[in-house]
Amino acid sequence: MVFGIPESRIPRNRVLLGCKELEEIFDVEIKTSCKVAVDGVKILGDDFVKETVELQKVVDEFDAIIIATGTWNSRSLPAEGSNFNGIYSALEYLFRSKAHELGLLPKKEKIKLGSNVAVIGSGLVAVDAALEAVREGHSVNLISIENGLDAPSGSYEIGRLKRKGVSHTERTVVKRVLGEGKVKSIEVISVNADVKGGVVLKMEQIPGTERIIDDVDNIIVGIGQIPTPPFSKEFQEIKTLRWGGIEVNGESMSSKDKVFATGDVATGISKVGRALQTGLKTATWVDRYLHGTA
Amino acid sequence: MTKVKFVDMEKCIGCEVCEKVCEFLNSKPRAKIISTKDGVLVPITCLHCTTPICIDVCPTGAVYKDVEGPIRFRRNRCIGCKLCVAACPFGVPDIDPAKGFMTKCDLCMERSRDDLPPACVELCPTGAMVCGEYEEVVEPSKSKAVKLLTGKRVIQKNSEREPEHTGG
Repeated sequence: MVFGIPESRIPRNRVLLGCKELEEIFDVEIKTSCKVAVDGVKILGDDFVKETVELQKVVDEFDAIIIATGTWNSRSLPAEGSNFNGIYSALEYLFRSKAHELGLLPKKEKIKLGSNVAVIGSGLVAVDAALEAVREGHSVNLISIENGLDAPSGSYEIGRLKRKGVSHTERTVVKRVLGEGKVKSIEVISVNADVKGGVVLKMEQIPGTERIIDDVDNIIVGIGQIPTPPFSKEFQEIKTLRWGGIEVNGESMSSKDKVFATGDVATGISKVGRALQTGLKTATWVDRYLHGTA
Repeated sequence: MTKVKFVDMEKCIGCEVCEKVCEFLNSKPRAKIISTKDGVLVPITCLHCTTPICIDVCPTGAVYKDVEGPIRFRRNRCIGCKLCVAACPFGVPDIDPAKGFMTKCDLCMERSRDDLPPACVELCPTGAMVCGEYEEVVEPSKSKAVKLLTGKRVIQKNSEREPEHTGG
C-alpha cells in the first residue's frame, strides 16, 4: 500500500498508523526487512532485505501460516525488443521512485527516465506511473488498446492525465521496440478492439496502420500484474493455478494443511477493498482452524 | 453528544474498503461504491441526517433516531413497504429480499457498545469516511476551503491545549 499506491491516493502515515495499531493494541509482532521465501526467489523489494528465512522453517515452526504476498510481478510487453534497456514495469518504477523519496534506496538505484516516456496500458497502475512521470517533469505518451472511454481506470482518470499534458494514443499496441539494445523508438499498430468493463474481449490489428513513434527514451509497461507466491512454481504440496495464483479451497486453505493464502496472491489483482475482505474472511477461517469451532 | 457521519469526497479513492468490510460484517453491504459512466467512484451510505425523511415516512416506527445521533431501525417492526427507500434522497435503505425487512447503516451498533468507531470509518485507508461529533468531523472541511481559497494552511485547533496568549 505504501509503495504501489501513490501518496496522493493513500497517505503513507495512515498505513503506518494501522501497523502501529496492530502492534500496540493487538500485540502483533511485525518483522520488517525479513524475507520469507524458498531459496532463490527474487522479488521487487529485495534491496531492503536484511534477513532471509526459508519458507520451510516458517511452515515447520508455526501452527498456521497465511501467505499474502500479492502480485508484484508485472506482465512484460508482448513485443519484439521487450528486453531492451530503458524498459521498466510501472510497478517497479513507482516502487523505486517511492523508495528513493523515502530515503530507502540510494540515488543510483532510482530509475532515471529520459525526457520522452511512453507508458503502455490504461489501468490504474499505468495511470499512476504516468502521473509520477509527469510530476518528475517528463513528457508522457500513454499508449493503450482501450480508448479514453473504455479504459479500465475510467475516462475520468484519462481526462485528468490529459489535462496534465499527457497525450493518449488509443486503440494502439506496440509491435516492436526499435533501437540497439536500448529503446530509441517504437513501432505501433492500430487495432480494432472489443472492450467491456475494462477487459479486452477481442482485438485485431489493422494492416497498413503501422507507424513509428520516434524519440522514445523509456517505456513503462503497466499491462497487468502476476501473483508472487514466495516460491517459484510449486512448494511441497502448495499448488498454484495456471495464472500463477495459489490454489485455495473455500476456507482459504492451500493444498497443504495449515498453510492459507489470501489477498491478491490467491484471487488475482484486485482493489484494496476486496483484498481486505478476503483477508478478513481468511482470518475467520484460520481462527476456526486453530480453535476448532465452527 | 450527537454523532455524525461524513464522507470527504476529495479524499475518497473508491477503493471499496467501506463496502467490503460492511459486507463482511453484515452480509449485505450498507455502504456502496457507485461508479459513474466515466469511472468516478462515489460512496453512497447513510449520512444520518438531522431531519431524516425515512423516519417521517415510516408507517410503523421501525426507523428511529438514537439519542446519540445514528438513524437505526427495529427489524421486528419493519413491514418491508420500501417507503424509506423511496423517500431517502440517496436511496440508502435497502430491503433484504430474503428476509423482507429493511437494512441500513446503523453506525455499527454492536461496535459502538464497545466504544469502537464504525468499521468503515476505522478501516478507510484515506480517512475519507469520518464519524464523530459535528465540530470535529465537519470543521476540517472549512480548513480545506480556506486552503483552497488562499493556498495557505490553517492553524489546527486543539481543544485539549490551553489557548495561547496573544499578548497585549
